[in-house]
Amino acid sequence: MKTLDERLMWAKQNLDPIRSDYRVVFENPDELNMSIDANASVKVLTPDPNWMAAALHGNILPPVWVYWELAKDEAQPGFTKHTRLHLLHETEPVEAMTEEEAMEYLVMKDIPSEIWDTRANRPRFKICRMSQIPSDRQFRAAWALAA
Amino acid sequence: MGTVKFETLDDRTNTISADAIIYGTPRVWNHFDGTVPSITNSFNVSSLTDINVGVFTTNLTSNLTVNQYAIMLSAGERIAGVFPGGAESGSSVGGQADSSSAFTTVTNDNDSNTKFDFIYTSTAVVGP
Repeated sequence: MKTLDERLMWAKQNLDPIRSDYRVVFENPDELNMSIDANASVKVLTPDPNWMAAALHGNILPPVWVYWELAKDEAQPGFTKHTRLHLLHETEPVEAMTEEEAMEYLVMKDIPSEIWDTRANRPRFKICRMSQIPSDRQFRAAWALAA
Repeated sequence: MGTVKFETLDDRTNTISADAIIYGTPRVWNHFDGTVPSITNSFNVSSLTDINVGVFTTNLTSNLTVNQYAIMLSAGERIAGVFPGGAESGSSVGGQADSSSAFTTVTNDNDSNTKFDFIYTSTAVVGP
C-alpha cells in the first residue's frame, strides 16, 4: 500500500478539486466567557478542495481515529517527535464518503474535541452553507453562533 | 511506480544528501484568499480555519514528525507595481506551529497597524 503522502500526491495529480459549499462554524465557550483573548470569536472552517476530492474518491485518507491517536501522543509531557506516524500510512484508508460524511469527518479531525465531543446546553458548532455566513467581514470580530 | 534509493546525489560539482532533500522540501503549502476566505490551491491541507480578521489556521492531512518547524508566509494584494501574491511593503506576517498537524498565521496591514485579510496569502512549511 502506498503511504499517505503518496496517495495525496496521486490525488493532487489525478482528481479535480471539489469546492464544497459547506462550512463549519464553531465557538469555544470558555474562550468567549473569559473575554481576554482577542481571538475569542466564532471560528469558521473551510474544507480544502483537494482534500474534499480525496474524501469523496475514497481509499486515500486514513480513518479519523488515527489522528486522535497521534494527538494523544503529542499531548504527552516531553513529546519531541512522533513514533507512530506509520498509522497514517499503513492503516487501511477509508472508503468514499458523501460530502456530508466528509464534513463530519473534518469536524472530528480539525476541531478540538471539547467542541464536538460534549453534552452542552446548546450546540457549539454548526455545519452550514457558505451563503449563511456574512460576506461582509467588517464586523468579523463580533460574529457569534446563533442559538 | 518505481523507487530510487540513494544516500547522496552528486553532479560532480555539488553533492546533496537524501536527508537534505527530504527535510528541505516543503511538506505543506497553501495559497488562500483571506477576504472570502477560500483556498485557491494547496497540498497536504485538510482545511482552513478563519479564526478572526487576519488570523487563519491551516490544518494538515499528513502530520509532520515534530511540532516545531519552519513556516514561510507572504501576503499581498493586487495593486499597481506589486506582483500578486508577493509580500508588499504594507504587510507584515507571522506564523506559529500549533501542533504537528496545524499552524496559525497572522497578517497585518502596516499602514493601519491592524490585522488584515489579504487576497493573496501564501504559506509553506519545511520540517521533518
